[in-house]
Amino acid sequence: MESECYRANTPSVISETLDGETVIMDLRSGTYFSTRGVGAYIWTALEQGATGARIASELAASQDGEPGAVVTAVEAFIRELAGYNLIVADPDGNPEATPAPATAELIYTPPVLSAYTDMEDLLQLDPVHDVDAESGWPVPRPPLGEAGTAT
Amino acid sequence: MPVSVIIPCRDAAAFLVQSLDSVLSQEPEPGEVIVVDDGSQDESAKLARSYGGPVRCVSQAPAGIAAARNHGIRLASGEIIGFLDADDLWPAGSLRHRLEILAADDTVGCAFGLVETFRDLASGQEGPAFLPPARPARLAGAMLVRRWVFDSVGGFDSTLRIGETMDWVARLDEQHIVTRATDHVVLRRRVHASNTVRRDTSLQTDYIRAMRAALRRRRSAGTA
Repeated sequence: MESECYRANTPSVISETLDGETVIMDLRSGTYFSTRGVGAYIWTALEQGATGARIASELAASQDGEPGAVVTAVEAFIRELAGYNLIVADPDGNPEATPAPATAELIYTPPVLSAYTDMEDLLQLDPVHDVDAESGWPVPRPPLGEAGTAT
Repeated sequence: MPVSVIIPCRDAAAFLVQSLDSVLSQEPEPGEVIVVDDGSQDESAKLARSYGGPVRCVSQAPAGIAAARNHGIRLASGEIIGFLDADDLWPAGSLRHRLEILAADDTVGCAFGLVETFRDLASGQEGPAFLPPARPARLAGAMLVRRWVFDSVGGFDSTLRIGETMDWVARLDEQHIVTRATDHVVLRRRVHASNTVRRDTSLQTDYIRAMRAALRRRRSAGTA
């Protein structure tokens, strides 16, 4: 597992990392997730194509944590992400990809993934289907001649 | 209990008549139906204005569905406020089943019900092969809200292009507003043919924005 490359399970999984917090949404299950600090670092590094092994060694090198514990924690975190189907193995990935260096502000604590199900009802219905950025909402205007033909 | 129904609408002339008729055939008939025309370029406003009776139409410069709903809330005179998107339908009994919930218990601020999806066959496209079964969902079209709830929760966030209902429901939960749901279908939601809809991932980031904000609020309130 640690030598494998992953990618986010798009298009049903969307994510964004901001201010050290990654928020991940699985539009299929309706669950959304948050992970901060080291977890956000790992998610970003996975998106950059880095393998678990490379991420663990980058973290271990830049942190005070005990290297063996860091490797174990990174592997467990990746397993958890894969278990929720948030990431899938990417056979086209480059196992040599190097993650961005962990910054000095990143204090090592074991990564934690928090899952929330309170918006399941709305996310599973994914109202995005009804929205079009260019043509308006709730649906694009029908082509000329079709307006008013709904019965 | 006087009910105001707000129908935000942009270029939905093809569906608006069905939608309005489904509201006007409810028992009891709502005291007021406000179509908020969000800068439509089609016949939507003209259609809405032709109804008369409890239906009135206000037009605004295009500002999005959240702003349109908020505009409707400001104008609404009813103590109870319902919403319907201009392409969706309320089945018979939708209003009554939810009103019964509110009438039975003054502490309930918001009544929901089941949402059923249906294919838009008028477009000539079949759309998705699979439609989810009727299920409880707190979509705007499925909720009937006491006016005071908006004083406590606020309106819809007009900076969100999508996910505005999710954001509002998150704030509803954080204010500990009591909600209750009927097991009747209260909203029929039109699913459009897939080729008329683009999955725009830049829109989906608004979902994340809404939930990131909710997580931060809950963390600072010590509830997450």
